[in-house]
Amino acid sequence: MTSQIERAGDFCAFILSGRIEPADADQLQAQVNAQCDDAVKWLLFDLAGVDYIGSVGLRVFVSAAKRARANGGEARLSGLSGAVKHVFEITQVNKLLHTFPTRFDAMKNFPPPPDPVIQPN
Amino acid sequence: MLCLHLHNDLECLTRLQAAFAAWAETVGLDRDESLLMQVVLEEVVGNIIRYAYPVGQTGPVSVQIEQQPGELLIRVCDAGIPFNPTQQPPPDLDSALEDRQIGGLGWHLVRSLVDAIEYQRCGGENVLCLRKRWLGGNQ
Repeated sequence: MTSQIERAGDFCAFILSGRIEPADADQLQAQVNAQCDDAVKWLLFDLAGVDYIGSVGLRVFVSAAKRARANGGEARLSGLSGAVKHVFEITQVNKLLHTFPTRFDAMKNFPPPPDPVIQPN
Repeated sequence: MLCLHLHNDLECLTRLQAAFAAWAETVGLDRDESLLMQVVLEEVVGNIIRYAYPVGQTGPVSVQIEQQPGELLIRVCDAGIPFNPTQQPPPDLDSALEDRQIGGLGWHLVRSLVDAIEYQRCGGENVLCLRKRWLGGNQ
Protein backbone atom coordinates (compact mmCIF):
# COMPACT_ATOMS: atom_id res chain seq x y z
CA MET A 1 0.00 0.00 0.00
CA THR A 2 1.13 3.55 -0.60
CA SER A 3 -0.47 6.51 1.11
CA GLN A 4 -0.31 10.15 0.13
CA ILE A 5 -1.38 12.44 2.95
CA GLU A 6 -2.66 15.96 2.26
CA ARG A 7 -3.29 18.16 5.29
CA ALA A 8 -4.93 21.58 5.42
CA GLY A 9 -5.86 22.91 8.86
CA ASP A 10 -8.21 20.46 10.55
CA PHE A 11 -8.80 18.53 7.27
CA CYS A 12 -6.72 15.60 6.13
CA ALA A 13 -7.00 13.47 2.97
CA PHE A 14 -5.45 10.01 2.63
CA ILE A 15 -5.04 9.00 -0.99
CA LEU A 16 -4.38 5.27 -0.89
CA SER A 17 -3.34 2.75 -3.49
CA GLY A 18 -2.34 -0.90 -3.80
CA ARG A 19 -3.27 -3.65 -1.35
CA ILE A 20 -4.18 -2.88 2.27
CA GLU A 21 -2.61 -5.91 3.94
CA PRO A 22 -2.68 -6.39 7.74
CA ALA A 23 0.79 -4.83 8.12
CA ASP A 24 -0.31 -1.83 6.01
CA ALA A 25 -3.37 -1.44 8.21
CA ASP A 26 -1.16 -1.00 11.29
CA GLN A 27 0.85 1.68 9.48
CA LEU A 28 -2.29 3.47 8.25
CA GLN A 29 -3.87 3.32 11.71
CA ALA A 30 -0.78 5.01 13.17
CA GLN A 31 -0.95 7.74 10.50
CA VAL A 32 -4.66 8.36 11.14
CA ASN A 33 -4.14 8.43 14.91
CA ALA A 34 -1.30 10.93 14.52
CA GLN A 35 -3.53 13.26 12.48
CA CYS A 36 -6.51 12.92 14.84
CA ASP A 37 -4.24 13.52 17.85
CA ASP A 38 -3.15 16.71 16.06
CA ALA A 39 -6.69 18.20 15.90
CA VAL A 40 -7.81 16.81 12.52
CA LYS A 41 -11.58 16.29 12.53
CA TRP A 42 -12.42 16.10 8.80
CA LEU A 43 -11.02 12.96 7.20
CA LEU A 44 -11.22 11.83 3.59
CA PHE A 45 -10.01 8.43 2.39
CA ASP A 46 -9.74 8.01 -1.35
CA LEU A 47 -9.52 4.31 -2.21
CA ALA A 48 -9.75 4.63 -5.99
CA GLY A 49 -6.32 3.02 -6.31
CA VAL A 50 -6.93 0.25 -3.75
CA ASP A 51 -7.73 -3.23 -5.08
CA TYR A 52 -7.56 -5.36 -1.91
CA ILE A 53 -8.66 -5.05 1.72
CA GLY A 54 -9.52 -7.56 4.46
CA SER A 55 -11.05 -7.24 7.92
CA VAL A 56 -7.84 -5.94 9.52
CA GLY A 57 -7.80 -3.08 7.01
CA LEU A 58 -11.50 -2.36 7.57
CA ARG A 59 -10.87 -1.73 11.27
CA VAL A 60 -8.87 1.39 10.38
CA PHE A 61 -11.91 2.98 8.75
CA VAL A 62 -14.31 2.09 11.59
CA SER A 63 -11.79 3.51 14.05
CA ALA A 64 -11.22 6.63 11.90
CA ALA A 65 -14.96 7.32 11.69
CA LYS A 66 -15.16 7.10 15.48
CA ARG A 67 -12.13 9.39 15.94
CA ALA A 68 -13.48 12.00 13.50
CA ARG A 69 -16.87 11.96 15.23
CA ALA A 70 -15.23 12.24 18.67
CA ASN A 71 -13.28 15.28 17.39
CA GLY A 72 -16.55 16.89 16.25
CA GLY A 73 -16.10 16.12 12.55
CA GLU A 74 -16.74 13.44 9.97
CA ALA A 75 -14.95 10.82 7.86
CA ARG A 76 -15.67 10.30 4.17
CA LEU A 77 -14.77 7.55 1.72
CA SER A 78 -14.43 7.74 -2.03
CA GLY A 79 -13.45 5.62 -5.01
CA LEU A 80 -14.63 2.19 -3.84
CA SER A 81 -14.81 -0.36 -6.65
CA GLY A 82 -14.64 -4.06 -7.44
CA ALA A 83 -13.69 -6.45 -4.65
CA VAL A 84 -12.95 -3.58 -2.23
CA LYS A 85 -16.46 -2.14 -2.65
CA HIS A 86 -17.93 -5.61 -2.10
CA VAL A 87 -15.98 -6.06 1.15
CA PHE A 88 -17.15 -2.66 2.46
CA GLU A 89 -20.77 -3.45 1.53
CA ILE A 90 -20.82 -6.95 3.07
CA THR A 91 -19.58 -5.57 6.38
CA GLN A 92 -21.62 -2.36 6.06
CA VAL A 93 -18.56 -0.31 6.97
CA ASN A 94 -19.49 1.91 3.99
CA LYS A 95 -22.56 3.01 6.01
CA LEU A 96 -20.42 4.25 8.90
CA LEU A 97 -18.62 6.78 6.70
CA HIS A 98 -20.21 9.01 4.10
CA THR A 99 -19.35 7.40 0.76
CA PHE A 100 -18.91 9.11 -2.61
CA PRO A 101 -18.09 7.85 -6.10
CA THR A 102 -15.02 10.07 -6.53
CA ARG A 103 -12.71 12.21 -4.43
CA PHE A 104 -14.02 15.29 -6.20
CA ASP A 105 -17.61 14.43 -5.19
CA ALA A 106 -16.47 13.85 -1.62
CA MET A 107 -14.71 17.23 -1.52
CA LYS A 108 -17.90 19.19 -2.28
CA ASN A 109 -18.64 21.29 0.81
CA PHE A 110 -16.02 19.30 2.70
CA PRO A 111 -14.84 20.34 5.09
CA PRO A 112 -18.02 22.32 5.58
CA PRO A 113 -17.69 26.10 5.68
CA PRO A 114 -17.47 27.50 9.20
CA ASP A 115 -20.62 28.81 10.78
CA PRO A 116 -21.10 32.49 9.92
CA VAL A 117 -19.95 34.84 12.63
CA ILE A 118 -22.89 36.87 13.86
CA GLN A 119 -21.79 40.47 14.24
CA PRO A 120 -23.20 42.28 17.24
CA ASN A 121 -25.36 45.26 16.36
CA MET B 1 -4.57 -28.20 -7.38
CA LEU B 2 -2.66 -25.84 -5.13
CA CYS B 3 -1.14 -27.37 -2.01
CA LEU B 4 1.05 -25.49 0.47
CA HIS B 5 2.57 -26.61 3.74
CA LEU B 6 3.10 -23.47 5.81
CA HIS B 7 3.65 -22.54 9.44
CA ASN B 8 2.31 -19.87 11.76
CA ASP B 9 4.22 -16.89 10.38
CA LEU B 10 2.47 -13.93 8.72
CA GLU B 11 5.09 -14.05 5.94
CA CYS B 12 3.50 -17.37 4.97
CA LEU B 13 0.17 -15.60 4.43
CA THR B 14 1.76 -13.30 1.84
CA ARG B 15 3.29 -16.35 0.15
CA LEU B 16 -0.06 -18.16 0.16
CA GLN B 17 -1.95 -15.21 -1.34
CA ALA B 18 0.66 -14.78 -4.10
CA ALA B 19 0.54 -18.50 -4.90
CA PHE B 20 -3.27 -18.44 -4.91
CA ALA B 21 -3.37 -15.38 -7.22
CA ALA B 22 -1.08 -17.14 -9.72
CA TRP B 23 -3.08 -20.39 -9.51
CA ALA B 24 -6.40 -18.53 -9.86
CA GLU B 25 -5.16 -16.98 -13.08
CA THR B 26 -4.25 -20.38 -14.52
CA VAL B 27 -7.71 -21.80 -13.78
CA GLY B 28 -9.50 -18.72 -15.13
CA LEU B 29 -10.95 -17.22 -11.93
CA ASP B 30 -11.75 -13.59 -12.64
CA ARG B 31 -9.75 -10.90 -10.88
CA ASP B 32 -12.40 -9.76 -8.38
CA GLU B 33 -13.28 -13.37 -7.46
CA SER B 34 -9.60 -14.07 -6.96
CA LEU B 35 -9.21 -11.01 -4.71
CA LEU B 36 -12.28 -11.99 -2.66
CA MET B 37 -10.92 -15.53 -2.16
CA GLN B 38 -7.65 -13.93 -1.04
CA VAL B 39 -9.70 -12.07 1.59
CA VAL B 40 -11.10 -15.45 2.73
CA LEU B 41 -7.56 -16.86 2.96
CA GLU B 42 -6.40 -13.81 4.94
CA GLU B 43 -9.23 -14.24 7.44
CA VAL B 44 -8.95 -18.02 7.86
CA VAL B 45 -5.19 -18.53 7.68
CA GLY B 46 -4.38 -15.20 9.34
CA ASN B 47 -6.55 -16.23 12.29
CA ILE B 48 -4.72 -19.56 12.59
CA ILE B 49 -1.33 -17.83 12.38
CA ARG B 50 -2.25 -15.33 15.09
CA TYR B 51 -4.23 -17.50 17.52
CA ALA B 52 -3.96 -21.28 16.94
CA TYR B 53 -0.63 -21.80 18.68
CA PRO B 54 0.81 -20.47 21.95
CA VAL B 55 3.03 -17.39 21.55
CA GLY B 56 6.55 -18.46 20.56
CA GLN B 57 5.50 -21.93 19.41
CA THR B 58 5.85 -22.86 15.75
CA GLY B 59 3.08 -24.99 14.26
CA PRO B 60 1.97 -26.25 10.86
CA VAL B 61 -0.77 -24.82 8.64
CA SER B 62 -1.60 -26.65 5.43
CA VAL B 63 -3.79 -25.29 2.65
CA GLN B 64 -5.16 -27.24 -0.27
CA ILE B 65 -7.24 -25.57 -2.97
CA GLU B 66 -8.78 -27.41 -5.85
CA GLN B 67 -11.22 -26.91 -8.64
CA GLN B 68 -14.07 -29.42 -8.46
CA PRO B 69 -17.13 -29.65 -10.70
CA GLY B 70 -19.12 -26.49 -10.05
CA GLU B 71 -17.04 -25.26 -7.14
CA LEU B 72 -13.73 -24.34 -5.57
CA LEU B 73 -12.80 -26.35 -2.50
CA ILE B 74 -10.43 -24.84 0.08
CA ARG B 75 -9.22 -27.17 2.85
CA VAL B 76 -7.21 -25.68 5.72
CA CYS B 77 -5.67 -27.81 8.51
CA ASP B 78 -3.75 -26.84 11.64
CA ALA B 79 -2.71 -28.66 14.80
CA GLY B 80 -3.48 -25.77 17.14
CA ILE B 81 -6.06 -25.36 19.87
CA PRO B 82 -9.56 -26.57 18.90
CA PHE B 83 -11.46 -23.76 17.21
CA ASN B 84 -14.78 -24.08 15.43
CA PRO B 85 -15.38 -20.89 13.42
CA THR B 86 -18.91 -21.95 12.50
CA GLN B 87 -19.86 -21.25 16.13
CA GLN B 88 -18.66 -17.65 16.08
CA PRO B 89 -21.52 -15.21 16.73
CA PRO B 90 -22.35 -12.79 13.92
CA PRO B 91 -21.33 -9.15 14.42
CA ASP B 92 -23.97 -6.50 15.04
CA LEU B 93 -23.85 -4.56 11.76
CA ASP B 94 -26.81 -2.33 12.61
CA SER B 95 -25.39 -0.57 15.66
CA ALA B 96 -24.68 3.16 15.56
CA LEU B 97 -21.12 4.31 14.93
CA GLU B 98 -20.51 5.01 18.64
CA ASP B 99 -21.51 1.44 19.55
CA ARG B 100 -20.00 -0.36 16.57
CA GLN B 101 -17.24 -2.83 17.44
CA ILE B 102 -13.98 -2.10 15.60
CA GLY B 103 -13.19 -5.79 15.00
CA GLY B 104 -15.16 -8.99 14.62
CA LEU B 105 -15.77 -8.72 10.87
CA GLY B 106 -13.43 -11.50 9.71
CA TRP B 107 -15.68 -14.54 10.10
CA HIS B 108 -18.65 -12.54 8.84
CA LEU B 109 -16.66 -11.88 5.66
CA VAL B 110 -15.79 -15.57 5.30
CA ARG B 111 -19.40 -16.66 5.82
CA SER B 112 -20.55 -14.10 3.26
CA LEU B 113 -17.94 -14.90 0.60
CA VAL B 114 -18.23 -18.71 0.50
CA ASP B 115 -21.24 -20.97 0.08
CA ALA B 116 -20.50 -23.65 2.68
CA ILE B 117 -18.23 -24.03 5.70
CA GLU B 118 -17.60 -27.42 7.34
CA TYR B 119 -15.49 -27.85 10.46
CA GLN B 120 -14.15 -31.04 12.01
CA ARG B 121 -11.75 -31.71 14.86
CA CYS B 122 -9.99 -34.76 13.58
CA GLY B 123 -6.88 -36.55 14.94
CA GLY B 124 -5.75 -33.50 16.93
CA GLU B 125 -6.24 -31.18 13.94
CA ASN B 126 -8.71 -28.45 13.04
CA VAL B 127 -9.94 -29.25 9.53
CA LEU B 128 -11.90 -26.52 7.80
CA CYS B 129 -13.47 -27.01 4.36
CA LEU B 130 -14.79 -24.01 2.47
CA ARG B 131 -16.80 -24.40 -0.70
CA LYS B 132 -17.39 -21.65 -3.23
CA ARG B 133 -19.77 -22.18 -6.14
CA TRP B 134 -17.98 -21.51 -9.40
CA LEU B 135 -19.10 -22.50 -12.84
CA GLY B 136 -16.37 -20.86 -14.91
CA GLY B 137 -12.79 -21.78 -15.51
CA ASN B 138 -10.34 -23.30 -17.95
CA GLN B 139 -11.07 -26.92 -17.01
